[in-house]
Amino acid sequence: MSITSDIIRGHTETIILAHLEDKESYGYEINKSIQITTNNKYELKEATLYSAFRRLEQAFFITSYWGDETTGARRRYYKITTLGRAALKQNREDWIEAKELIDSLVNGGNVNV
Amino acid sequence: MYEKLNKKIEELFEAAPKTRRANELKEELLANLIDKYNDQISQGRSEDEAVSIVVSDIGDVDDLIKGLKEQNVLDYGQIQKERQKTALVLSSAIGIYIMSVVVLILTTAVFNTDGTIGVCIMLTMDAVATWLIIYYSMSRPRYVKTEDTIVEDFKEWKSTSNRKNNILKSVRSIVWTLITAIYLIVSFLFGAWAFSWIIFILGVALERIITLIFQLKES
Repeated sequence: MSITSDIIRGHTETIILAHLEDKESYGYEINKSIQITTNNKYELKEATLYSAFRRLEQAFFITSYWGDETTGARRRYYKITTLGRAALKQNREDWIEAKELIDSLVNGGNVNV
Repeated sequence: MYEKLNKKIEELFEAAPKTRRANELKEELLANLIDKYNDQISQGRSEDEAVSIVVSDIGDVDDLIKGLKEQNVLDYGQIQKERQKTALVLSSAIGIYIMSVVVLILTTAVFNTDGTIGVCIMLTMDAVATWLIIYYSMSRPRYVKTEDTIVEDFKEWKSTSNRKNNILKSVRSIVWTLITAIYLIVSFLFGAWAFSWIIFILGVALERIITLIFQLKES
């Protein structure tokens, strides 16, 4: 599992962008959705999640605003920008390329193992 | 129980600067932890169990705190200084531009000298002012990426393309200062006011050529 989480960690930003592609969301909802999608096998640490949010915001890939919850603590919502969508598209292409390369490298040339 | 979570966050972020950004981050994190805590309770965990799960999942907040500190330094120290410097350089340059015209008026109207001397002094002063602006905009630090992530790559790319634009802008302003200088010198020396305006049309062509060279170089 340690190699797996290392690889996933390198794609935290892409994962977040992918979750914001269809709708605006907030930290816990994104993390919960990651958990459900991966069948409870993976979940981001809050520290990792919020560091990634800050980096994405600084690069103008996402924007954020405070929700208007009346009870309890306020939630901060995140929204993907046009630039963020472009980055997501590029990252998906990069990932497919990397996946094919690694497949062929670790399988000794036989992709269909 | 929420109070316990809040206390835990305060503990974790003790080393963080007391800024609005830090407070917002803590508030956001608290909302997240409360949601998670409630989820754990609804799954049948005891309050203490839920708290310990939630807290242990936060992870290492050192990077977050570091980010808050860096931004803190940038926000209030460096950016402020940078702005003051920019303002100082720009206002001195503009001051010199204005003074150069004053010198021209003084030498011709008050001291009754030949117009050429006044124009020469004015253009020399303009050249100094232009040099000041260009030197300053080119010697400013550019963004150097700190991490090997796409976001950092993007920021570096943005910074370099901004620099390219700045250089092009500077070259343009030099060209136009020179064109004006040539126009005035030719007109005054040869009294060729009737024809010398053509220099400006040639100037436009020259500027287009320079822009084109820049674009070709980039692609």
